Amino acid sequence: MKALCWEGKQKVSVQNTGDPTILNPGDAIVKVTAAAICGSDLHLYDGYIPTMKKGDILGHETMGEVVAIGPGVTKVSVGDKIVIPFDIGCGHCHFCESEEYSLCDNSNPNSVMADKLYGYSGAGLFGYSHLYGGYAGGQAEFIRVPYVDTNSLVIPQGVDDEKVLFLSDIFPTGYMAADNCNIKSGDTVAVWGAGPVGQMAIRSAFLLGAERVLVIDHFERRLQMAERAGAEPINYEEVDGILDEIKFRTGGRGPDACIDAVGLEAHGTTVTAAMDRAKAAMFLATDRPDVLRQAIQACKKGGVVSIPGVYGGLLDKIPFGAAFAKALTFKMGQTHTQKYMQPLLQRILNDEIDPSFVITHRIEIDQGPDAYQLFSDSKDECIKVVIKMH
Amino acid sequence: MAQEFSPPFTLFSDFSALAKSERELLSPSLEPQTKSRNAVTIKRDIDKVFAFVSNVDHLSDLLLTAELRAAPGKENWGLDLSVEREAGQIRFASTRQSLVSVRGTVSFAEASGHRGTVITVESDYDLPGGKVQEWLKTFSGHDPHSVIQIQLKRLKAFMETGEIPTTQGQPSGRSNETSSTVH
Repeated sequence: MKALCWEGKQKVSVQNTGDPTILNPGDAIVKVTAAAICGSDLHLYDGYIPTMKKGDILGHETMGEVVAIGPGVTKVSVGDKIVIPFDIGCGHCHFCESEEYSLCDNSNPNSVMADKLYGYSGAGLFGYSHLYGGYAGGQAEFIRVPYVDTNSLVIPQGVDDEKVLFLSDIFPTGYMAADNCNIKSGDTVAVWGAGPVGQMAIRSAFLLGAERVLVIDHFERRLQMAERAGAEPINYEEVDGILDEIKFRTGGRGPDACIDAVGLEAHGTTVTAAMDRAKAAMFLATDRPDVLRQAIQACKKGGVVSIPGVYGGLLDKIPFGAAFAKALTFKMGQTHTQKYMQPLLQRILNDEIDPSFVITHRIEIDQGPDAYQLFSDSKDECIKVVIKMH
Repeated sequence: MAQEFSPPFTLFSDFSALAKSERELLSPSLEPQTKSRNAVTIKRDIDKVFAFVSNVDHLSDLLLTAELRAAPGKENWGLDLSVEREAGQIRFASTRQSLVSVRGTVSFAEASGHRGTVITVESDYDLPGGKVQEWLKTFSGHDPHSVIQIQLKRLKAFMETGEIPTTQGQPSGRSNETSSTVH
């Protein structure tokens, strides 16, 4: 089969690989019909995530038709069209039974590696390095899905792939980010990052009852996309100070909740952002957390900082004193995708939201390497890339 | 509800490959530890867990001992276990004929909040000579503590889900597994 493979920093190729097979009783093999390139794939592309190996198959936003199932599968049949969550839950451990699927105890076969870095390993992830299990990803013609009874959402016949593909990651991710804000009537939410996750977080915040949503970015096309959802855009390159701007716009109180939908590769014009870049270039730091610093400083007293943006390592100069003094609540982590897929599918089927608005590019798999480069170099032009596979 | 499991069962089907992938990130311990304390919580009733682990083949697999048997060229590191079972505990010790001396205790207790069973493994190893250090670096890349922890995790996964998670046999774009680069 054809597959998009990681070949090194800023190198992706299309390879002819073997086809996946059933390895465990709970597996399914899926013929991929659509896959997407995620902003967090760019962290792999840019070499920020350790333990990648040349030849690893990329991709964690995947859907398709079930073509084979293992003898232990009970909830999915050959012929079903399913969306596959990016995080892999076993369905039976303490965390999965608590609907905290991204914290699964059992699905990461390399969990001792993650234990040594993080204390305790979370779930395996598709296509996201050997630290998270080394599972082959879904930017390929076929994918093996372990524990498929837990890791699948069956889609009704006749629903377009583009409407539901993002149930695999960015829509539940943005929704959980907003859900974690504990939004109450009248609340103002600020979202840093108008990329696909930020766009979903904005719309989710409104679905959950936010009265105002501020969005901070510097890509005009992304800000315009957010504005179409009712958000108030702030281009941080056009204001004198982003923290002063947010304070002014919120009547001197600050947002009730702040969502960091940027994560470890924050750009920015502050002195601390420049220091982050210098440290990362000299391998003195792993992450660039300037957005997180801003979110902490901007948030109202007693507010929530919600972090769907990926962080990987050690962060420098975090104003934790400010967080303590203001009694902030932090909510973060990889998405418990399986928890949100069915209710969000229902919202789509009820025409409350059509997530396909975020797509800007549709490609064939052979165009994958060029698409990665475009996505990396031209974020204003390229917001979301979908690969039409079969 | 986890699937019922039935023998044959081995925790070691792909351990050597697993160790290699982890070794690339972890710095291999240069000094073998001779004391090990490990714990895991398994979401199954204590009776079932005790019955399963106290099967001597499963117990051997669980401990470092099985890896010693599996290490290439180490067939002469004979290891016989003497096992004593009593309520809530399994004591094990190598016999005088073994070249590797190991002794310890596997304990079972109900997890707080009725969350299953806690297994703790406390063991002392007296491993022969400098060859062990070489073996640890080249074969496993791990100290005994990490090896047992891996095995406990695999036991937990098997008992909770009926499967051990694996990626061995999946496709990739590595040169020895592909036919060609397309683009």
